[in-house]
Amino acid sequence: MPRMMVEMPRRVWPAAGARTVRFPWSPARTVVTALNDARSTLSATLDTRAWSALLTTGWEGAYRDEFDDAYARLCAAASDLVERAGARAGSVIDAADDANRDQVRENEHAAGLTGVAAGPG
Amino acid sequence: MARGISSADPDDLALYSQQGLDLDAALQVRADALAAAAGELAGAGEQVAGLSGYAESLTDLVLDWIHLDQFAGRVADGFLACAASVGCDGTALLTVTDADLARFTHAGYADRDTAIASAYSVARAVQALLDAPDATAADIEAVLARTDRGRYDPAFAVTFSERIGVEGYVGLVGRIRQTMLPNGGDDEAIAAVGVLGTILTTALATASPPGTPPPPLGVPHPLAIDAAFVRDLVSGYDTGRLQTEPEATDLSVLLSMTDPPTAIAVDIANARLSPILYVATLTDTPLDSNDPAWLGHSGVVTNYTTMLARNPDASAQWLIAHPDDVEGATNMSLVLHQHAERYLDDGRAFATVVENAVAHTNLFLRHDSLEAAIAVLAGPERILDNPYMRDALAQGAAADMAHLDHLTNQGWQDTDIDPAPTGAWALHGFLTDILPDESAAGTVYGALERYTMAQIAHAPAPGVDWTVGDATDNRTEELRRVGALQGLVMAAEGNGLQHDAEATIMRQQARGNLVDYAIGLVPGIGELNDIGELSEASIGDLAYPSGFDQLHEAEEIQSMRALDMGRANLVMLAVLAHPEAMPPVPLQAMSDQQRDAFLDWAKHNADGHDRRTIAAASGDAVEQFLPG
Repeated sequence: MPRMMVEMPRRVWPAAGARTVRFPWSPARTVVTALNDARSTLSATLDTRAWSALLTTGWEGAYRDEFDDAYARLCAAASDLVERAGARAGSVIDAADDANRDQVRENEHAAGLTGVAAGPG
Repeated sequence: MARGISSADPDDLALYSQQGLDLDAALQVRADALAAAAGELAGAGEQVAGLSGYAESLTDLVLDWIHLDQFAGRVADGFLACAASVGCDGTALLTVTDADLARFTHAGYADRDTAIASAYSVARAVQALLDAPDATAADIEAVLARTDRGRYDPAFAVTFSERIGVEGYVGLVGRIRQTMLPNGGDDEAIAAVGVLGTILTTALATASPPGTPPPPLGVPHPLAIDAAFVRDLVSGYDTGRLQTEPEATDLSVLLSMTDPPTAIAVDIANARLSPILYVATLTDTPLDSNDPAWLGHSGVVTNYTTMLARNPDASAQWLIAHPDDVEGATNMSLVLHQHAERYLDDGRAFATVVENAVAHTNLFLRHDSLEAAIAVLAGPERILDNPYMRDALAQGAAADMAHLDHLTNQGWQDTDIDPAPTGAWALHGFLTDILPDESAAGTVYGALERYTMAQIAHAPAPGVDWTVGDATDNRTEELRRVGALQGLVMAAEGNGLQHDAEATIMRQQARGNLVDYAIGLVPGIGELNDIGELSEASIGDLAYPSGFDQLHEAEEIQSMRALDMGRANLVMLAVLAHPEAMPPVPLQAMSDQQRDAFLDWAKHNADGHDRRTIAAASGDAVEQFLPG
């Protein structure tokens, strides 16, 4: 099963006095949104094409054979991309999680120095 | 289904193709967005393993789907063409042989990857051919035969073109010149170049239109031919010196077999044609015929002009453009100043390009092109030296008669008192150049008759006057305008003919037919006759019986023209006022007595004031423009 729609974690903001962990949150969110959109559009495309194929039921011959070969390859490629979309989004989210963990550590380090607790922003 | 047989419902297949392309468009938006986002993330320093590869795969998939759906559409077109060839429509299941279908289909490859792989393979074969000093005509034909499937396939054509580059194209054309021309003649050689021209046309059709914003960071547009290739083709590739380097001819022969998109065609003409035309206006040396090996296709200028002539939009846009390094001139000016006998086609392609522009279906392009031509020919000197150009320009005048009216009458309120305005003089100069040609004059006078008819038919009723502060009603003003235009045209023809000793009585008799033509266009009654069907015996003959064989004096011709127009006006006014009194038999079928009776009826039923108004304005204009 492909991973379902995924979402970016909430960002942990730097606490007062803590070092800021650099991570491109805005581009990362855009990538995750784009991957989700691509995945859902790919799925819809495959479903719609299955119905549209009814229009080609009377089409036979050499060109049809060639078409079928290419069609099968593209459907397989599309299904593969649907499967992999979640994993790619997951990679971005993992990177965001790593950034948050680092930021928590930085915040705790700063809190240890100043005695102020820090948490998700 | 038996081997060698195909069947489909063409309409269903075309619908499938269109629905697929709609899905592709939606998916392309997603692919572009992802590619841009992935590029931005990478640009921000965050490398996510496999992300850019995923985005590329998605873009690739979209392009593959587009290619496959276009393939289905082209096959549908092939089935439709098969159906049309036997008189059927495309609404039912159609069964044809694969051979028949192939004749009507430029399907290309279904699989884009296959197309690209084939293009790589053929490009390598071309390179091997260029590297082999002893390549034969058969070798060349064998390689070109391998492009049979891919010629109309965008993926094949783009890949092949980018692989071999402009240099490869020119090199292969050169090989065709060296190898095939001496043995096979120019038919075989030109057919071989035609194959390359088809591939190049297919590839260029994918070029992004001018003004297309560059894709966002990271978003590829591999469906479009590389802009660097187009730049090379337009101007970057140096063909060497004209008349010394055969490559200059080779590229022009190739381009003469192409039909590039408008912007590219204009750019090519500006970069490769305009400079030669400019030089041609400065020298007496013929510049067209270059490497004679190309026989009938060795005309560099003719070749580029042939390419341009295929595209009416490009023709117009190029003609009204200002070439580099020629201050104040338009390409129209360069073309109209050319001497036709210097060119291999005797100036035919120039005339086609000009006619494309001045008779263009787009009002603005047509208007601007005609203005550019008038600006060149406005002066008193005779410029045209191309037997095909007058007729081409006449088509423009006929297509824009309202503008001729405007030029004649703008700023010319009282034709009997005021001098003719600048615009009228410019138009006079233009018409003086083109009207001495019999065919051109026929075109312009035919349009003038139709325009006059329409203006009279739509003129306000007598007494209506919306213009404050003048003494004449609007109908009179309208008829004056028409009369002035008629007078200017007649004067221009008379003046032009003074320079043309070849005017003959035949064209005068042809003018007589205009009266019949005008009658044939009575609104509400329809065309009662057709100028093409008129025999020599017509009302015109009554006015102009034979006996002018020795007529060569422009004054007499002009006088006869005035008579003709006057009689045409008379008949038009009469039949517009009394359409119920149209003769029951076609005019060409009338006896002499019937014609006399009809003309007599017209004399008594045309409004005398209207007739005198037109005649007076026409006479004033003639006086203004005729010398002395």
